[in-house]
Amino acid sequence: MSDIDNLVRAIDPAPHAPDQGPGARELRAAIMATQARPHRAVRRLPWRAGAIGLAAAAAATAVFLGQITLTASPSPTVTPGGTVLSGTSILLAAAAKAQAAPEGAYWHLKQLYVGSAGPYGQNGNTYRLETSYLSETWVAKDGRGWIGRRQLAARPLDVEAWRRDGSPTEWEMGKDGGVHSTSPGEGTLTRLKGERKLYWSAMPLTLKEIEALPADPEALKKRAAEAIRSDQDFAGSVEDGLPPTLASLLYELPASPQVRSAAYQALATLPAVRVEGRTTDPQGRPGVAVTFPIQQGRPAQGRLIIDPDTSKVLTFEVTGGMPQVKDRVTMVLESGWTDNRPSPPSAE
Amino acid sequence: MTHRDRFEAVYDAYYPAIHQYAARRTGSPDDTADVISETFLTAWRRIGDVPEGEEALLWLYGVARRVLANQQRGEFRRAVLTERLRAELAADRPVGPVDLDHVRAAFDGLPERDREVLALACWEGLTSQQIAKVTGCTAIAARTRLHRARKRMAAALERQASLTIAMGEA
Repeated sequence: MSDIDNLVRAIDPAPHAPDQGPGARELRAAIMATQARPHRAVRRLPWRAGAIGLAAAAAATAVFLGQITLTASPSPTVTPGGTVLSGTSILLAAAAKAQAAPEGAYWHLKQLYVGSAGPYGQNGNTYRLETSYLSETWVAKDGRGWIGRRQLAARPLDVEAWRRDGSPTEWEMGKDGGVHSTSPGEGTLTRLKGERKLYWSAMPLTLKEIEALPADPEALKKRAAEAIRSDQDFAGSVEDGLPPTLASLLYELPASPQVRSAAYQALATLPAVRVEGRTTDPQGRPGVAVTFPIQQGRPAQGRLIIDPDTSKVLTFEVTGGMPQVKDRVTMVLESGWTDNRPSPPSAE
Repeated sequence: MTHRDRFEAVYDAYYPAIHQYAARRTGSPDDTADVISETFLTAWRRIGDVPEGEEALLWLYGVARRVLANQQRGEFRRAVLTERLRAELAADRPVGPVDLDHVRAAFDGLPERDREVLALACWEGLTSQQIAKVTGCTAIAARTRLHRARKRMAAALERQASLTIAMGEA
């Protein structure tokens, strides 16, 4: 009988388990953006609601990947010392700082996402919550991967309205999707199966391939163009996709110091990228804001806050986007190599 | 662990297996994308019901199986999001080996019930006990079904072999 099994095995139409691609990760986000419903009250409509949720999430993704208009050249900005330093030179200064980076056993990215939820409350006492969670990714040199997550304490944005509502400490996320709470959740750590690939735009890359990216700005732009073209759903031109794709090398991927430097230099050549000047991120960390338009004909802006002294990206935010997509901020708490073993995210 | 954490963990752990299960049983990337989407959407809606550990995978197979059987699916086909997933699936669409055409033909000629248990046993590598959980029958029934399916597959292969020889001689 085992001969039969072997023959059937030989005609397996899909003998190898695929990796999660960007499409798979978008699907996960889109599914989680739909409201979970209690299965006991099964209704015929949920599929429809799901499809709408998917469309909204797709729109949100489009914001990230969307077209970028060409605007004026980098504007001059004033350093604390009072001398005028052009935006380009700020980026080039960051490029010089990007030359040194520590080594370690794991590539580690720790991000804090801050968004909002609601409205909650009733009878005129409605208020929104500020919600946030920590997300961590580790990739070992042999390709093993881990993800960690921890929901942080939610905070009512209108304290008076919250008091009038009876000062609740928990709010339902959806009908069946957990709760927002004034106390932080447990940290979780999940070991991923198979080799962890990292995505540059839609292009899957191994750690070795990321290491081997060119350190020349023009050559790097060419590779970025390939990465952008690998995203079959990307509707804009290659030029449109360059700022976010190059920026992703600065904090989302374990690019070598030389490649990060080249990415800064390449960004400095793009007319759509503007250096806006000194600011602080929501964590109070000082840096320089770098913006680029997200989608042609729309006010949405991508905004990076970088620390020019270390060349690290502190924050990425999308502001002024579509009404259904709230402003959201991603703060980069750690991005680099470490010898610390993966562990569930602890409260900060 | 919140529902969100739990869902993310389940999704990340079992996406490849469900993708593979769907790809094996659908004729186009569109259908594969549909089955994956709806299976995990159901898991998200019913995350409280998803069992712990490896049992979760069997539960997901059971959902995917019902999604496949449900002719009503297709709302997701029009959803913008699965475009990229679809492109991803189209890119690595597997191609069957050509020299095993007679095996494929023998397999395709089997009744659906036989193909189902054989595929679960040989492609997903499930035991008859696990097959019982996925298909919702008893372990004994699953073992019997598997045994009969193997016999019918052997007979179908013999018929295919004689057919091939006859055609070669003609």
